[in-house]
Amino acid sequence: MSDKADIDTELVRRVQRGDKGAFDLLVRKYQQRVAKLISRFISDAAEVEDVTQEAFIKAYRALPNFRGDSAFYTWLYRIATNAAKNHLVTIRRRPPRSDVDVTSGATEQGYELEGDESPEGEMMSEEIRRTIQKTLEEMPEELRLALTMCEFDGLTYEEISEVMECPIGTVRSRIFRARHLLDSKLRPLISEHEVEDVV
Amino acid sequence: MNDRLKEQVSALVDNEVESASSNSLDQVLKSPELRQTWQRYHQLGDWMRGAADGKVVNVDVADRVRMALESEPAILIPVQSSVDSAEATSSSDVGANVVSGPRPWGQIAGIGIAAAVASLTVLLFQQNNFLGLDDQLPFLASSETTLHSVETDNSNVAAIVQTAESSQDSQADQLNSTTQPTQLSASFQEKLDAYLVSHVKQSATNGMQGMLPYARVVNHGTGASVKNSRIGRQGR
Repeated sequence: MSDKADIDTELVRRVQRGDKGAFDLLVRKYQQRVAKLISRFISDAAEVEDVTQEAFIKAYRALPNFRGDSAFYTWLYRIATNAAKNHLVTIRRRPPRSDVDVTSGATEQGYELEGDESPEGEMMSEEIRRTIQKTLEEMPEELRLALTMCEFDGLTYEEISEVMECPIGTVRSRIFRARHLLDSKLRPLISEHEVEDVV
Repeated sequence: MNDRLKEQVSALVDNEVESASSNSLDQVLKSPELRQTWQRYHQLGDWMRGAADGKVVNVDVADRVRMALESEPAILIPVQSSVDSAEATSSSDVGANVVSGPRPWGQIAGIGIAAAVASLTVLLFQQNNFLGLDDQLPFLASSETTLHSVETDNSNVAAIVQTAESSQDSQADQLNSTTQPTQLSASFQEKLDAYLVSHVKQSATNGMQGMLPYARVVNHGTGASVKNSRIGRQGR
């Protein structure tokens, strides 16, 4: 594991050398997590998008001062939390009194801020949830196990290969095939949703 | 799109590549389609975890952020040396997540030393090379020159009389007869006059003693009485 590359560090390094495309990859990687965090503070979906965008822009501007002593996502989450709080202050709402946990988005007091998601958003989330569940149930067990051990348990390919008693290359292939399968089921759903939005 | 490339992206998403600067990252950066794949694979993981905890968020601000950043200047940070990087990594204070700039102390010390040397050079030049009197000054200093009477008339020194010092021994009369006050040559006196006037002006402006060590000691006549010369101070 020690010789494994840290993709975030490499991407940050590239951004600090003037490569804006590397920052685009960081945005694509973390936008869901940042938006989820911000949605704990702000209920309106459009505002969540705006503040998410603002948080990434602030992060980009602050990147020259990022030295990498903490993980990039920890640093980014701090920026996102502040952006959400500032947004609430700006629109004269009261920000939560306690901090939000970086990893889960839950507050220190153990409760989550209520969000009043729109019916369309709620329906979309439910569809995504159902599709993921159904696809995982239907896919071959070795694919499901490899993917869930990777995504839920955070195991490395090497650790998964030991658990599944197969070569690392096989693990890599199984995880890819599982993702590919899920992606093929979810993509029409998202495209459909985007068309509805346009209409 | 080649499945092999997508599999590489899948491994990249899981941080399962040997080197971060590998071709797979470069390929993702270059290909719009692979960027989308990178985004969707990360999204899948977030959605899987979101589905598990009952909160699925679906946003896509990548294009908006990219467009907003188009007008932003690109970040360019000088590459740090390995020593600096090691120091930065070992630092654990709260505010340490900041890139340290170049240390200015070395430059400041260098500039200070250069300024001191330059100042010293100028002072030495002013003191020793003024009016080209290098040859005469030792003479004035070594011979016991008597500044018998210096009259200042605004800017002129009236006369400088050199008398040989007469000792108090038995040859005093002889010496006195042979060492009558002698007028310096006209050219030298003119040069010296100009020098002294300039010296007074210079010493008034920069507070230097200039020629005073040479000119103040006065041996008057044959006796032991010594009196200070009157030096024009109109410039002060």
